[in-house]
Amino acid sequence: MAVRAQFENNNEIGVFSKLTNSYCLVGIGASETFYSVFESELSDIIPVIHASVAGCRIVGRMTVGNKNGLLLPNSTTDTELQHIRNSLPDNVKVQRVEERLSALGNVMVCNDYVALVHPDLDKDTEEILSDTLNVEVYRQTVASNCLVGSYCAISNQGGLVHPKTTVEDLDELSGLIQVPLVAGTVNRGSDVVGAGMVVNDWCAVCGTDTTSTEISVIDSIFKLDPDGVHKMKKLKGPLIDSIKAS
Amino acid sequence: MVLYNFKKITVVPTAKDFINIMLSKTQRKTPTVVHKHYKISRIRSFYTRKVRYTQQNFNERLSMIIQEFPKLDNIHPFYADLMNILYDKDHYKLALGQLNQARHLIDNVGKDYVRLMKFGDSLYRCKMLKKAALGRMATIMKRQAPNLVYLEQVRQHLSRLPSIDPYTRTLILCGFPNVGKSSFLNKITRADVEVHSYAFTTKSLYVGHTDYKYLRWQVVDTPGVLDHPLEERNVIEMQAVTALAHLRAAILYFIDVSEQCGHSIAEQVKLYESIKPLFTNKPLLVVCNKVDVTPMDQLSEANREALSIFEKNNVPLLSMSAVTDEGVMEVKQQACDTLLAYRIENKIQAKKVDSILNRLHVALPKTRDEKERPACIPEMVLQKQRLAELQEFKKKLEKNLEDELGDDYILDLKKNYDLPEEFKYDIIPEFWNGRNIADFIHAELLQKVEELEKEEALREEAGYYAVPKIEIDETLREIKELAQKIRDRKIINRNESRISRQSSKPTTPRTAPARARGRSATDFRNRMEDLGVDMEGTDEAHFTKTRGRARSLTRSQSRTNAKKPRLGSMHRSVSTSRSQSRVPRNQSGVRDSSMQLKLKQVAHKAIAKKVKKQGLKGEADRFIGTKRPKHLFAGKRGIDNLSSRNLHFNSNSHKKNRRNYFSQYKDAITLLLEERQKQPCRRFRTTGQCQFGSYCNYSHYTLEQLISLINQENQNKICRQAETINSIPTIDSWLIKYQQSLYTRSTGKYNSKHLVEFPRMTSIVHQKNGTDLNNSISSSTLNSNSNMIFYKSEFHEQSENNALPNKPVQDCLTDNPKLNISISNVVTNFSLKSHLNLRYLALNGSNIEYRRENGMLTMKLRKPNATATIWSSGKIACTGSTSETHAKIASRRFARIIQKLGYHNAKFSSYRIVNVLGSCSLPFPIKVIQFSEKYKTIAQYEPELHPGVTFKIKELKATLKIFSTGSITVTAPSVNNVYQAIEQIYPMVFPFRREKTAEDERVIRKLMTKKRNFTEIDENVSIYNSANSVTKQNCDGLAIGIVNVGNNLENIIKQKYENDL
Repeated sequence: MAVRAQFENNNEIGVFSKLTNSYCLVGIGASETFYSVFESELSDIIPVIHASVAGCRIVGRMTVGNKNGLLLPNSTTDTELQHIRNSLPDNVKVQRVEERLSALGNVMVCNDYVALVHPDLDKDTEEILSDTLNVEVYRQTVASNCLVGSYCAISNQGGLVHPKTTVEDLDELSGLIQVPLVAGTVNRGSDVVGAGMVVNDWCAVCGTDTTSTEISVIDSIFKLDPDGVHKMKKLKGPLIDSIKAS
Repeated sequence: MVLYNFKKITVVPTAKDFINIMLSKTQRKTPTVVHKHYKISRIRSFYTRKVRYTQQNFNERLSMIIQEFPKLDNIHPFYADLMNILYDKDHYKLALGQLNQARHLIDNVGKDYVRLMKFGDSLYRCKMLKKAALGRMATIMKRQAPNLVYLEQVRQHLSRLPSIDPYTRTLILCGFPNVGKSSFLNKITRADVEVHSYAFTTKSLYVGHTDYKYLRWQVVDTPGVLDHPLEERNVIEMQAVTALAHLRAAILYFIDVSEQCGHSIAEQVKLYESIKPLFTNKPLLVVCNKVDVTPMDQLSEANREALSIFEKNNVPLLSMSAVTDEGVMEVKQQACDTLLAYRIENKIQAKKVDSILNRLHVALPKTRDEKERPACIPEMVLQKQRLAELQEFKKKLEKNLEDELGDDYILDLKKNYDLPEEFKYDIIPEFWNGRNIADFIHAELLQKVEELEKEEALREEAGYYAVPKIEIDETLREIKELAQKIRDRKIINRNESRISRQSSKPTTPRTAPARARGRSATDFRNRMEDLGVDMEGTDEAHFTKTRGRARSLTRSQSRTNAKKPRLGSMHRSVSTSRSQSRVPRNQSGVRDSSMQLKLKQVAHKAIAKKVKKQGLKGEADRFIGTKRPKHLFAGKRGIDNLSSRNLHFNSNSHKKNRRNYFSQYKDAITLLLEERQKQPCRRFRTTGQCQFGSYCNYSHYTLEQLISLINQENQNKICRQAETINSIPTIDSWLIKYQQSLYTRSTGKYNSKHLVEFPRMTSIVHQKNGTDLNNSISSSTLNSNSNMIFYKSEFHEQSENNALPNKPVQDCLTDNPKLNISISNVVTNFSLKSHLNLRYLALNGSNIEYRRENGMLTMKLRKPNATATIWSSGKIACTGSTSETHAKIASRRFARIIQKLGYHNAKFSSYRIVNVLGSCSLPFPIKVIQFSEKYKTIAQYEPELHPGVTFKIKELKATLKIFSTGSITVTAPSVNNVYQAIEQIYPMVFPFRREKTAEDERVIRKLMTKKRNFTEIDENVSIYNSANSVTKQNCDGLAIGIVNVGNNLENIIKQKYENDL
């Protein structure tokens, strides 16, 4: 089941953390409360790393990565790079990329097999991305937003996208990523799904504002709950009746 | 969200309360104090505000009521119908409409009266208008009483209606009465509805809520419906019909299969058939209740047949028992499911769900290749889950560490490095442009730095950096100190000027006294002498010639000579046809434009200075701080002010009294002439009084009185003749008389009467009678009756006194030169041997002035003219008398007055004459200087102190002041002494007489014009004139003459006042 967390009274936890199947980056905050949420969940299984990128805490938005590797923007300092390198297991490749759209987390999103990227992304970056992370790369938009990283959260098991994504888009994206997708919100109706939560194949963390309905959607779509999908189907009728046309 | 909440309608007060609320609000929220002396506009606005405020309040309150009650056209038809059934739509609409009408009427009333208020011309009228306005508003409101009562009832009923949301998922239970609808409601919801075994237990709609499939369901229990036409249905049934008709809900039609309700199944089916139209397009369920009594399979064939109609119509037929709970949940679930399906279908049909459909869609991927994309979940995860199941697995987290260490906690980034333990804490080399900075650091760098530091320390020790001390010698230090002082002073000056510039107050306050001029010639001389300058021989120096305030004769003369003839002055012999305009003041005497400019600047500066100093606003500011200074106006006049005086002078009583009074001074001749023409007054003769008094057309004189008048006149005639016969004037005297007459003619004011020697007192009475009389009257009107009596008696005395002949004494002295000695003041002292309450006297006595600051009273007496100063110890000083007898009379009178005021034990004791002041004019001027030189030892002459010679005669205790004009004033302890003193001084002065100069003439003339009221001066001149002829006569004779005069006077006065004493 998804865990709720907050970074210094901020619910956009996807901004301050990056979660993959082989490691987790967490921004250095004033207190260790946020870090410990991840630590308690994951530290036995994967390394949970305090990190900063270019002196900023917004590691989730600056980086992109999966179990195979990690891309860092060019503004990352050598020391930071060294620190991350020292903390990560050897099989994870770390690469610094020279990219105009330096908030890599905002412009790319990936699981271990597929990545969606911003249509304007540099060709070289795309190449580095596919080499480093071992993924197929697709230039896509989500609900006609270019910032795919911000509006998507995907794992190998499922994905949550911007609430305004049409059914056709959903089907298309699902075909690309090869996981079930659903349109939804986090943090009590926030549409920046990527910023509001982080997820990997067995664990999800979202902002404290996230409602139980949203959590149940997250649990079922990311298969964190064994019978999630069925539940959703059951709920459909009441949902239609209760949702007021807006 | 509750759409219709009728619980929040505010209470509708009764008409009486309504009016009270409005009026008291006006009273509370608008000003309450107004006075009729306010400006009318203010009064108007005061009342306008009241009217307007009341109107607004009425308007607001009525609007609120109208607004808050639901409008039948705007609410859901279910509620509209329900309200129509319950409260009668027409009545309801009418009530609200009439309130609306009342609101308009009140608005109009308010508007009209606000308009009328503009014509209110007094406080009273405005008030009445306000009263009328509020009254009319109240009346309008009073007429709405039944409507308000009705609306209040409606409000109360509305607030108790169940809040039914007509849009939400609803199940409606209906059927015959007593078929178990309410029991079902109680089973599936938490509503606690009354259930009894008789029909129409439920008389209105009830609502309960239940949960199913994460949703809330509203269950409406309706009263039972009977099978008859719609028109015959009562209110209770109609409620059920309304609910069935207007709510889009699943309908559960209840059938009592046990027929315990008193209606057979066939009847119930028939009812179903008759109200079927209400169920169209709604999910419908038929529920067979009370199966515990009659199970479905035990139903009779006919009933089965009747129920089969439902199956034919595809209406689901369910069975349940509220008692055994059998089938209750199934009924509920099926009802809810059908309703939900129905609603979803409707929604989808209405395309309302398109916008949210995507969020309900789970996009499942179509496989595009054979590639496996498995989830990557490490073994550890599953292990951990298992571990967590087995035992509480807890690792120490960073958070716990932080809490433990508190402030000492330092985040250790290197702790979790994926490195062998020995390398974990190695320093990460710093890279710059891809190069390790450490590679470029010199090996001996630190050593070198250390060496440099050592060297520096050595230098410091050696005093390499010490600042050399600067030696300051004596003069330099002095200069420095002085400079410091100058600098300090400059700063202070600067600050002071800044402060003084900031203040806008006048430099000198208005109250500041004028400063005396600090410069003078003597001062200057002294200062120069102090400085060592030789100032001798500077008496005529230029600086001594200060220009005085007074114009010196020579200067003015020279100036007049130098002065140019003025334009348009008398010098112009030729008259100009055109009028000569004068040169403007600011241009007169100005040479040219440059001078004018300069003068303008000077004037500007002068004005600015004056304005600044006196704190004025500008040149034209004639500000006078206090217009009526208290000390000049407080307590001086009291009641006797100018206006009251004028009022009195114009009053009839005063005019009458004046006429009476003046009639007493008529000559004997005029009296005789008047009286002879009248008939004797009979009334006066018989009763002794006549109401017309002196106005009487008939004579009040008795025969004796007339005869005495005739005698008097005869005597006067003789006297006049004697005068004309005895005094044969010399040519000189005639010339002087002629000159005098010329003079009088030229001035036109000076009237030489015949010399009246004796009645100085009476003459004074003549002069002052007007004012004195008035004084006494005005004061007497204030005081008690006793004073009135006193006044009258005095008046009587006066008239008596005046009846005495004004005998000129002059004729007794016709053969001697006249030397007139007048006694102007006799001061006496006496005691009453009694303590006096001055305040009491001042309040009760008349002609009294209380000088509290001096602790004394001054009391005045008109006749004999005297003033007494009274102290509380009982001592009294009497001044102002003109002779000893007068003084005594006056003193005794004062004593008597005080006695009459309540001091009965007051005694007139220790009376004595303290001082007598007399004056006398010698018929010649005196060489004062020579006189004083001769009698150096006795006479004192200090022209700086006093213009006269002070001469003392010890044996007479007399002090004489001898002036160069020839007048002598004497102060002595008695009148006799005064005479004797003059007798003594006359021969001593005589040798120092001198010729009259033009200067003397001038002085005398000046005196005459100044004091023309005093007949003495008149005498002076005549005496002086006659003196020339007298000079050769014997001095002794003259003196004797004087004594004679004195004695004669005494005798006459004694005779006169015998009565008084």
